[in-house]
Amino acid sequence: MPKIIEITFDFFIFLLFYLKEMVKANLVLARDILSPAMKISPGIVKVPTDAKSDNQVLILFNLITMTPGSLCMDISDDKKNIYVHGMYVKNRDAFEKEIKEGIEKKVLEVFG
Amino acid sequence: MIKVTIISILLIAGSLFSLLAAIGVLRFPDIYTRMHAATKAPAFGILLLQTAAAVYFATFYAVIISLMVVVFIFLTAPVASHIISRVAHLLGTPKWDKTVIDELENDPDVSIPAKITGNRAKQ
Amino acid sequence: MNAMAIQLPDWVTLTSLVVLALSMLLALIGLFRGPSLPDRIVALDLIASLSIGFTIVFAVSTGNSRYLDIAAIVALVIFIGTVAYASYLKKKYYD
Repeated sequence: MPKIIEITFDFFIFLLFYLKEMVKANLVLARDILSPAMKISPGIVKVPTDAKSDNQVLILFNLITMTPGSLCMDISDDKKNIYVHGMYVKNRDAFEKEIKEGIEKKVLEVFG
Repeated sequence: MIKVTIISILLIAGSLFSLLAAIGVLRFPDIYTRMHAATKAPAFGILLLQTAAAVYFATFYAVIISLMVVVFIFLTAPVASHIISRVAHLLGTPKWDKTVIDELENDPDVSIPAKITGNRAKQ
Repeated sequence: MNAMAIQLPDWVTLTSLVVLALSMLLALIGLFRGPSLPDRIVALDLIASLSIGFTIVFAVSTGNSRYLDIAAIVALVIFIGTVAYASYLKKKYYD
């Protein structure tokens, strides 16, 4: 029984995290759209992923799309790499690190 | 009174986020950046508007249907944006001049099905 | 469902309806202007989302919660529409 309570608790924490990211994403988007000069540098980056099952990939896609400045585009055939379109790809490695350490770690520890 | 204030703020903020999405679709330079505006902002706007409706009606029915709409929108918006951007990339839609990097172009890890030519196309 | 405890001022729903109509107009301009076909699909998707917003604000302004059903149905249908357009484009790629 405590296991179920733990899972539910984790899920609610994840939901709050999702909501926070959502609000942040929209504020960043508002700043981008309303600023007179377009200060964006878009790019498509290939990110290796550790997500094993299909459910994890689904949640990862959803979360990446809803987080600030990134949009999921595709997944490779062997499900090892995902292609993310980012708004601020000044530095490719920094962007990849941000996706891997920020979002993917969270998804894997909640839905591991 | 507090309830009226909350509902008013939610309604106006939700419609402003929808306006933001429309401005973004007009202002952004290429299809992929437009997708950013057209995926995140309307979903958030609908979340705010449905919360306003749920607080306003405050019946079981209204809350459940609001929850259903929000969950469905949040599950399908990423899928729709993924499928549109994939097809746009497949068709070779032009990217913005200042695009920094494109690692999906000609990547061997993603199989692009061969174009159907000749007789098979007519079947 | 018509017994309303809360009295919402008229200008609130009016303002949000006007803002939504303005954004619908901008989305229509985007639909006509979009240089490529995927751009138009994005604009259509946006218009469908805006119509959901319209329905919700209308339900609040009339005080009849039955209108929320329409929002649910539109939300269920637009996804299929977008996927259908996208698969049509994919078919176009093969020709």
